[in-house]
Amino acid sequence: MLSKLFSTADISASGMSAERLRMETVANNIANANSTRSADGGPYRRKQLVFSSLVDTANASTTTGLKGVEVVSQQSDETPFPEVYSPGHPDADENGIVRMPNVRLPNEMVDLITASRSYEANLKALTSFKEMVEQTLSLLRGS
Amino acid sequence: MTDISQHFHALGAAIQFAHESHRATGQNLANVNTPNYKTKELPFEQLLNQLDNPDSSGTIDVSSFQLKETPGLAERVDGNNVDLDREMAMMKKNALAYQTLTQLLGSKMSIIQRSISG
Repeated sequence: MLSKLFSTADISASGMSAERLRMETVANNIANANSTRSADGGPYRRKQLVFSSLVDTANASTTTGLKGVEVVSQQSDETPFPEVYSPGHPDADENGIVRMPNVRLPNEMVDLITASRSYEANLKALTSFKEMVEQTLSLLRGS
Repeated sequence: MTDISQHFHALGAAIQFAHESHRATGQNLANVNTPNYKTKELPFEQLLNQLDNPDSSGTIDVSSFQLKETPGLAERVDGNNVDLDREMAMMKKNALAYQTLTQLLGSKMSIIQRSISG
């Protein structure tokens, strides 16, 4: 009962956790912008999150069925690695070419800003819901 | 007597409607970065129709109202059409409506209380 009463907060919370996860992914991409070695061999591949809207299929057309957003998977960016000529680099091949991670800083910064703004929007929705509940509760206190 | 209970009824339904609308806006905001997600809203006409033509039980179940996709919004390249600024404005308007309705309900309750206690 209580969980259903305040389930509106869960929608905003799911949005906040998804956006926070996106910011963490972006931070990881930026941190590894120069990692020429990774666990799967070769340079670091840029990671991206896939979001999907979460809806209760039993009552998808009403507001009761709305459940927020979920992170479905984390996928690697399969675009080719940029090649840099740097013969002194430990990971350079016989021609002096080093393959660098396919992380592009401007893209990551834009992602970071949109994630941050979306997080704020969800937080605002949560605060707004909290105020609405407080107003209703003040009715019980009487005036 | 029925008059008083009807007022409470309409106000209660309107408050619940504002709450469910907030759910829809919250869902839109949570999915602002979900590809192919379409903005949803709860049409106010459904509440008006129910208030004008109450069913036999006389109760209004707002949670069974049908959601509608908002038409006429510009779609992004990823198929998502959530407009963050529009949703924030909708949320604020809805929160104000909610506040107005709860205060109306509160003043109605205090009027009754005063008439009882004399």
